[in-house]
Amino acid sequence: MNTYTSNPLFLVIAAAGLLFGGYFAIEELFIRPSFVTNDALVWTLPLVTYVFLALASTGVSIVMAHAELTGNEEVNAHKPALLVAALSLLIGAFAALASEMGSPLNMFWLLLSPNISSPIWWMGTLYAIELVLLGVKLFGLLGDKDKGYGQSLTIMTLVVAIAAALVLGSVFGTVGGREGFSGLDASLLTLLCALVSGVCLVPLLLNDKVQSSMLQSGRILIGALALMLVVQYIYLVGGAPGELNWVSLWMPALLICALLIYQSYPAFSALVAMPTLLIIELSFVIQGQLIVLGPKQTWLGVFQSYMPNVAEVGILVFGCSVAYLCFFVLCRTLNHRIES
Amino acid sequence: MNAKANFNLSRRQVLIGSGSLALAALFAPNAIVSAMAKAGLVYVPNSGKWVGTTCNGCTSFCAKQVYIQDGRALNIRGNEFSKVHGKASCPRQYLALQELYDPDRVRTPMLRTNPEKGRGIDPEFKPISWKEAISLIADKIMELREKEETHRYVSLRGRYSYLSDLLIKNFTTVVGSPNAISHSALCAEADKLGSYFTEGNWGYRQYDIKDTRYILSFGVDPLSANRQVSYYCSEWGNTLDKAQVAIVDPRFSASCAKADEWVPIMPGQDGAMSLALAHQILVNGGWYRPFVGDFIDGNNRFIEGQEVDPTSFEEIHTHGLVQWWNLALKDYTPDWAAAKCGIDAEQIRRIAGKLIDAAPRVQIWRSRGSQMQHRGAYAAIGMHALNGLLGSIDQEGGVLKWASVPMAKMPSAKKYLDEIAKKGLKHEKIDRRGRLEFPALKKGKSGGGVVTNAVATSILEADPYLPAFVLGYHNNFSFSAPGGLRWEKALKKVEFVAHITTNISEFSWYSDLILPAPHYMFERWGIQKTAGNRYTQVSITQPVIKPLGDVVEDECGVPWLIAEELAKRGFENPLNYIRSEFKDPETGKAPTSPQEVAKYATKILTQPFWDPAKYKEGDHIGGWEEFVEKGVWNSKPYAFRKRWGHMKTATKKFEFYSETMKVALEKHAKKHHTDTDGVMEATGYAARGELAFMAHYEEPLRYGDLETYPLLFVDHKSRLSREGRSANSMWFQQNLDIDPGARKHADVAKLNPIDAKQLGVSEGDSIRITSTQGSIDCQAALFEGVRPGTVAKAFGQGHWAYGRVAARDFGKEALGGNNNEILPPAYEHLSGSSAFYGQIGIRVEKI
Amino acid sequence: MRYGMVIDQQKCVGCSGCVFACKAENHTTDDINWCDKIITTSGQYPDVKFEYVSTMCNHCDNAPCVGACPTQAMHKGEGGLTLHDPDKCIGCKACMVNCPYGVISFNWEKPHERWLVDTGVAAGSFTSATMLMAAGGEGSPHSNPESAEAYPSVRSRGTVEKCNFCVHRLKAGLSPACVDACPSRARVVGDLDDPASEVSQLIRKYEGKPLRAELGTGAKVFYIRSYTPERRT
Repeated sequence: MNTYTSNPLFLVIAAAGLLFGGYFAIEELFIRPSFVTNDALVWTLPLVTYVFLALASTGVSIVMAHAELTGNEEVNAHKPALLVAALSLLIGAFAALASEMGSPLNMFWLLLSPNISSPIWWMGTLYAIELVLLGVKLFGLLGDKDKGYGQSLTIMTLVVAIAAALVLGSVFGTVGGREGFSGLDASLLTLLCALVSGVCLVPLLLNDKVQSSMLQSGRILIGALALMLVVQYIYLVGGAPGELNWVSLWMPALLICALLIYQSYPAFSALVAMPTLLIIELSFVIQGQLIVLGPKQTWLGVFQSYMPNVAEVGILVFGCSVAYLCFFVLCRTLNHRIES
Repeated sequence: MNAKANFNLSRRQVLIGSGSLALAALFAPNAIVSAMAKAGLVYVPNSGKWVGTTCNGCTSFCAKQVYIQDGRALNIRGNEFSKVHGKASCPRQYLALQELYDPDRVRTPMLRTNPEKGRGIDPEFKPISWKEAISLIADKIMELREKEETHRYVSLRGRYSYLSDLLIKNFTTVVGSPNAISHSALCAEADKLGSYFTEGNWGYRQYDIKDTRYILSFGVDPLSANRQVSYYCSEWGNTLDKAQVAIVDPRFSASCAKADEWVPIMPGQDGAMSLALAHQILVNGGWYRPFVGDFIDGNNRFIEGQEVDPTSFEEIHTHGLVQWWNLALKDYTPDWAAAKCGIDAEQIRRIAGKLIDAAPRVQIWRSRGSQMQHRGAYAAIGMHALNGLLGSIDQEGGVLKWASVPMAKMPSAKKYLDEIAKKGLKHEKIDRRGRLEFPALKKGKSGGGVVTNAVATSILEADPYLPAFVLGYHNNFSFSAPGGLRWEKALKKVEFVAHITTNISEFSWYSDLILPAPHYMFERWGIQKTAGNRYTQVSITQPVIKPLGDVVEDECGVPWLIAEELAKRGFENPLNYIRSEFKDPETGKAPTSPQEVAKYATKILTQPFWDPAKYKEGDHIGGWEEFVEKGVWNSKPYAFRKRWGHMKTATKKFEFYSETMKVALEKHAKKHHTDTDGVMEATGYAARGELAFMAHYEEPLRYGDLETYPLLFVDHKSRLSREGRSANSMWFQQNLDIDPGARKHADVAKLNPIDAKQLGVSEGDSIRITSTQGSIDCQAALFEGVRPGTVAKAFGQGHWAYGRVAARDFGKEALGGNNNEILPPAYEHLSGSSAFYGQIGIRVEKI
Repeated sequence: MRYGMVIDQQKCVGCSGCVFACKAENHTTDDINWCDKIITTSGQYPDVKFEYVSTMCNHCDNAPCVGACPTQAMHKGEGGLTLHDPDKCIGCKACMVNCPYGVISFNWEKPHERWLVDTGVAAGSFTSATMLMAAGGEGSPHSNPESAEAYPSVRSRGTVEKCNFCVHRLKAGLSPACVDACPSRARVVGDLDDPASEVSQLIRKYEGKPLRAELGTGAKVFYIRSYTPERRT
């Protein structure tokens, strides 16, 4: 399908990443806690890995659905790759999340004892639906049944994907007791992160320069995120009560760089943008927890600092490796099916 | 045994194990649960039993009730039958639960197999039976008897109950040794001296905080330490509605947080402040006339710097006010004191004014820190004299004596002394008490008290002689005595050291034989006394659970076992003594086991409280069973003003000029063919002549010169430290931060940020504190609540043994550093007290 | 019926007896205190202020933790208590992030694991395992079968836990352990819906306020009076 699925170096790196990250995932799940989490800093890089991959998947889904609905043939031509990428990223996201949550069996209670006022429940449910929808689409593609319900399925995928990205933000935005999280901006941030992930990743799958059809919207979205960060920065520098300034100016600066080379060097652009997105997401998730609340202050101090340890980086590597290997396997399967 | 016990002890585990029942319970909880409740299979809250006992975690000695459920001690509260504190308690009580179930506890007797003794050198203890252990002890004693050297047997007493008189005092006497050495001089003898030489009370006081209007505390942190923490915790908030509180302390304590005023005095200068207050009270005419009396013509002649004609003043219940003024007080102005105390003269005047306004409903408290100093005796007397001046002695809202209680005496062993024993008893005691430099004037008697910490020096110098057999009981002097390392060296020199202990402590580490002690709150008999809320109570400790491990009643049972073995070797007096004198007072039955000796001894000593036939006063208790059930007896409320004019002093009055002291010092001087000036010189005091008989200023002796040791060390108590024994508890370590300025699971020295900045020390840094005595390493905590120029650090951490939580590396490396390794082995010689406080120069370096 | 608590800060002497009583009652691990405290040290020498605020779950009427919990593990129970069902807990920690009071704890490790250690400090000493066997108890000798009727004595790794107002004791007509343990009688528990209850009266008399009242969580632990005396000098 394209070079990214057949490059043996990528495959070896991903396999090594799976082993490396898998070790820490197993250690965390079954042996002992190995993250630098504590009772005040509960969500760290492993959870952010989930956020990062889930938003990336959402972004790809949105771009793909949008292309389908608007009849963007340049993009539509690569629909299988996009679909497989979205699905794989989501599987990678869930793999990272599982290691973070203790036991994968815990997910069971989401269904048995739902709390519909909980953003986490909605996030979990929406992403689960998204996973199913993408799966159905893939199944359709395999069976070449992408005819009758294609349009409505696509609309559903788009709606669910946008909703999922917004709800993911609201997991933080609805936290009333922490100034750093609370607010609508959290959802705006996650949606923009998802879209920027999408517009940066999709060109890689198109195996070409960024198509003219995507160029403008891509630039607008990257620029919008950079603008939002600058606004945030100015607001936080002003000294908002109870909030830490988590935005650094290099974040929007790097995004602008990615924007500038977006057309000519999409791969480099993605190489700049994706880690920047990861760090933006990480900074956002961490900052809301750095001020320790209540009695936990006597255990952990009033302020904390955060630096991921090797186990947490392992989970990031694990999630990405799972996503890539899924992508590889699914593409192979798909190619095989289509060829046969 | 274990399997069975397990079955009994964990019905719930069994229940959960049977999955079907658990499942059934899940789906039909109500019916099943109620059925299980009927069958005794569910645990209804409060369905266990509260059993009376006594906490020995500090000198508050609160009567307790332990909650027993399933054979385990699960909770503790103040004893509801106590009129002192009722159900109120303090946080330390809970740590007893972790002491009880401490995984590092000694399980069985152990014998050293590695002859080499030293820190970091494994003694290689091997378990032995009680029979072997006791045989070994009996052999050692017989050896000494054969050589007629029984005085070389030394028993050392740490935390104890009244029953310990059997093991420590009387057994030691029958064996023929004068060396029953208590820890008391590490405790607070200088405090007792203060009230003895003013009002004839060698003892502690209680404070009527319900009716007081002003509390001035010299260093006492009543919410954390000192006597009756439970009672003061229970009433403090109400007291604040009616009274003001000022606390004098170089360190901001937990009580300072609940006081109106913190007076961060220069260490060692409490005496100066108390003298200036006395001066100002007199100048202002603020003394309490119904107690002290007045000038005959009513005109105040106390004018700064001017002598007063003694005949112009007529005292009522006090003695020697004018002499005190003329010889000492007249020059001790607030301005004079300000320079020494580092406290504004204005603040001193203001506090004097407050005291005058509130008198006689005032109380001057004094702590170990303000008086257990090298020259602390006269500070103790001076601080207490303020209570006399303000007329608060035995008054509503004032300072009260403990009511005396009609406890029976431990049966005497005198009848059972043979010739060898009598000869042994004639030797000088190992603690040098009564020597010219150690008057140890307990109750005014030369050599009447104990000089606990001198024992190590005596051993090291083999003067008066070298002990051959040291038995330590619930003590850890190598940890708890200033200059602790001396004890480690001294114990190495002793041929045979046995230790009765719950944990392998820094003392046990140098022992040859370890005997497992029952926990002193849950697993044995004992008796304690405390006072507060105008009542004095006597409470018992009793075995409330089945003892863990192979333990034997320590205070009464161990001497019984040794006596049995000695009898087998032909020395029957100890056994005869115990068998004949410790019969059950109800049945007359002689004891036949260690447990019975302990129980009968408890019954004998407490008989006046529970035997209606011997009733004297206080609570009416119907019999032994009821007493055991309740666990506590209360006196009648303390009677106000009864002692006015009848104090146990030479003049029967409250003495500002202490005729009592004069008699005591002159007797001691005469014994040593000198005069009182000679005694003053030998004991390190600067006073000469009549000043020795009254409160006066003594310049504190600074240990270490200002240049090498620029800072002053302030040792204090932690709220959670059970006299150094709770450090192996995680509950202790993880909640240490309730002490102002302290940190969790750390041994911190608190530095003022001003000093820290100068030293380049930041929060959490590892630091080394060095004094003339030694060095310790610990962690720096920056705290605004320490007087700049001083460093405050709580006692209790710095264990290198005791257990794996207490030590960083058991037997090798300490968690932090023990204060007593840098405190010099100084004394307040008149009382024999160790001087933990005063001006201990230190330097602090970042490491 | 709405259970609430009043803590009289003037009476409180900061002894932490409540903390230990809770540990003994509810078998929390060494690193978890259901009943805990906020300690504030402020001011500069010599005007130093030290304040102790006893904290625990506030059993908020509009509990953010309950709203955030995806599985109803955190839920509102009888008497307005905020309760936790560990069987439903998936360890997502949303409750911890949402609790404005920092009173929910997570079992990062398997609780009471140190009691499995079978080595001792000397040949004649106990070990953790032998002590547990000799003493009895589930997980540790401090386990309490009474509270275990309401909440597992040994929690599962990967679940949260918090104060449940000693619901097992309330049901039996007793006060929470921390209330009974307070030496200063600074804590009172009772029905906030009943204007005649002691808690309601105290709140009215002293204008009691919960922590972070501005958040509108409907927290039901109220604080009255001041820890620090007025400094009447």
